[in-house]
Amino acid sequence: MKKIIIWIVVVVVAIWAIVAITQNSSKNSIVTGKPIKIGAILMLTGVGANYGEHSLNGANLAIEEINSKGGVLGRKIEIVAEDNRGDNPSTAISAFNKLTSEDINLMIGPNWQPSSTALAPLVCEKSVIMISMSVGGSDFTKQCDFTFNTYPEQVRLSASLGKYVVGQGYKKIGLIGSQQSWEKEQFDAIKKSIEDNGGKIEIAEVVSGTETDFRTLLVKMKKANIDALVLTNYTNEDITVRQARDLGLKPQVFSVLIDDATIKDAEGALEGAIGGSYYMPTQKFVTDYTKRFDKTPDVSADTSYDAVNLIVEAIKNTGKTDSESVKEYLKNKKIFEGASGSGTFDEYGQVVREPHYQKVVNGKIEELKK
Amino acid sequence: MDIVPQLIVNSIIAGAIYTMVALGFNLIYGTVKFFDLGYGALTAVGGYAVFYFYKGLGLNIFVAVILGVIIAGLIGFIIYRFVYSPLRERKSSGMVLLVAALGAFTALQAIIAILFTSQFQTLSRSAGTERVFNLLGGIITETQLIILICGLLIMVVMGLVLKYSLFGKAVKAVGDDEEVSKIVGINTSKIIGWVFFIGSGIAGLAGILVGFDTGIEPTMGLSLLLKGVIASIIGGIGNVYGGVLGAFLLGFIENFGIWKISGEWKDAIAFGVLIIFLLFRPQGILKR
Repeated sequence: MKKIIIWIVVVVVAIWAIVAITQNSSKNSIVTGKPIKIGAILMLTGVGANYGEHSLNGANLAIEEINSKGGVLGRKIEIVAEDNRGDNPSTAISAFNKLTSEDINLMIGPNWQPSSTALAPLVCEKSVIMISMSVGGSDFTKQCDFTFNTYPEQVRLSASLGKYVVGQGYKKIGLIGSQQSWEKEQFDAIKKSIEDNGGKIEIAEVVSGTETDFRTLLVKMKKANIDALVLTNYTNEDITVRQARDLGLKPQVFSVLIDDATIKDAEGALEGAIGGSYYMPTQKFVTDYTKRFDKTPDVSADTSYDAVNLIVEAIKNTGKTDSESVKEYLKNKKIFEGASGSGTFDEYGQVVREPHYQKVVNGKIEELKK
Repeated sequence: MDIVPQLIVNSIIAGAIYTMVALGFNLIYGTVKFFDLGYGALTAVGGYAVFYFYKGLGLNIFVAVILGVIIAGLIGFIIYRFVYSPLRERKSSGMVLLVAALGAFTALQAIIAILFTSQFQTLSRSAGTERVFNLLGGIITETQLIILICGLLIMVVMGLVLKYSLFGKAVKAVGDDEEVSKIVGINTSKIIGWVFFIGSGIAGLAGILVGFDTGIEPTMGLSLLLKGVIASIIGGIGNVYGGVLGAFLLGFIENFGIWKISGEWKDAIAFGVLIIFLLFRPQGILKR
C-alpha cells in the first residue's frame, strides 16, 4: 500500500514537472510574431458602465485600425479587458494583478478617480504603463513617471466655467455641490474661480453624495433670487434640475458636466443649461466610430482611442515594448494630437486643452460659439 | 413665493416618504421583533419591477404598480419562509437574524444590479409634463401628492385592520407573545408570513413612488431604510401611528434644520435626533 502511494506521488510530481517545463519553454519561445497585449481596466458593468463601454469601443477601434495596417513591429495588437465593476477600487486592484500576472506591462484605464487612486501605487511599484482616458483629477499622473492621462484635468474646466459664468454678467449665483470627492473638487474649484473673478455667490450648498431631496436648498436659492444656478453634483444634477423646475425656479443653469444620459434623466429640465466640456472629438473619429459600433461615441471613447494610439506610437518609435522605453518616449512628448483634439502634455503626462462650452438645445448638446 | 408654506410642504413630502417606509418596517418589527434590514432592498425590488413592466414591457402603469407591489411582497415572504423562519425555529439570537437580514439585503441589491446594472433610472414618462398643485401655499407635484395620500391611506387601513379585524388581533397577539399565541391556537407561522408579505408590499410601493418622484438605483434602499428606522424609533417602534408621527416629525426637523444651516448637516441632524431619543425617550413618542 505504502509503495503504491509513493508511486502515485512520484507520477503526479513527474507529470507536474513535465507540464511546468513545457509551459516555461513555450513562454520563453514567445517573442516575435505573438501579439502585443495591452491591458484595459474599465468600468464595463455597474455605475458608469457607459464610460467603460465607450472606452472599450474606442480602444478596439484603434486596435482594428492598427492591425489592419499590419500592426506594429510586425506584430498584432491585442486588448485584454478587465472589468472593475462600477469603479470598485478593490476589483481594479484584482484586475491589475491578473493582468500583470500575464506579463502585461502596458495598460489603459481606469475610468474614474477612486480606482486610479487605488491603482497608482501598484502601477508605480511594478513600473507598468497606465494611461487613463477619463480620470478627471490631476493626482493620478503626479504619482510617478508611469502614469499618464489623455483626459485633461477637470478642475481647470471648472475654474474656467466659473470665470465664464461671471463673464456672462450673472450677479446672483447659487452653487450646489456634494461631498463625493470628484464633485467636491469641482465645487471648490468653481467657487474659488467665481470669487477670484469678482462674482458674488449668494448661496453655496454641499450635500451628501447620495442626497436626492434638494427642495429646501432650492427654496433658499429662490428666496435669494439667484439668476444663475451652478451645479457640480453631477451624480444627481438631473434630480436637482427637475425639483428646481417643479418649484418654479428658473435661473440659468450651468454644470461642470452635461452628457446625454443626464439630459435624458432630467426629462427636459436641463433645457437651456450650459456646461463646460473637453469633449470635442474629430469628425473622422465620430464617423468611424458610428459606422463601426452603430452608435455615436460619448466621453472617453475618443480619449481611449488616443491612449491606445499613444502606446503604439511609442512602441513604433522606440522599437521596444518594455514599459521603461514607452515611458521615456511619452515623457518626452510635448505636443498631443489625437481623435479627442489637439493640446499639449503637462510636465506630469496629462493632456492640457482649452475647454469649450455647450448648451442643451431641444434635448441635444450644441456647441456654443465663443 | 412664500418660504414658510413651501418649507412646510417640503417637510410634508419628506415625511410622507418616510411614512411609507416606516409603516411596513414597524409592522414587521412589531410582530417579529428583529431589525429586518432586507426590508430596505425590497423598496428597490418594487421600483425595478415597475421599471421592467412599465418601461420595459410597456404594461399599463396601474398593472405594473400592482405587479411591483405583489413581487416585493412575495420576495419578502420568500426571504421570511426560507431564511428567517428556519432561523427563528432554531431560536437563533437577534444578532444572527440581523446578520441574515444584512445578507438578504446585500444579495437582493447585488441581484438587482446584475439584472438592471447600477445605473440610475427614472420611472416617469411624463418628461416635465407632471401636474403641480398648490398645497397650503406651497408647491407639490402629482407624484408627491400620491405619496402623501398613499401614506395616510395605508396608515388608516392598517390601524383599522389591526384594531378591528381578526387578522389584526392575531398580529397584535403574535407581537405581544408568540408562544402564548401558539398555545391559544393562532397559526403564528401563517400570520407572520402574511405580515412579511404585506410589510414588504408596502416597502415595494414606497420604492415605486420614490422611483416616480426622483428615480431608482439598486442602492436606494439603504438611505430609505435608515430614515424609516429613525422615524419608527422616534415615533414609537411597533406603533403604526407612532411611525407616521415620527416620519413627519423627522421631515420637519430635517427641512427646517437645513433652512438655517447648510444642507450637508441634514443626515447629522436626523441621526442627532435619533440619539437624543435613544438617550432620553427610547420608547419613542407613542408607546406600542
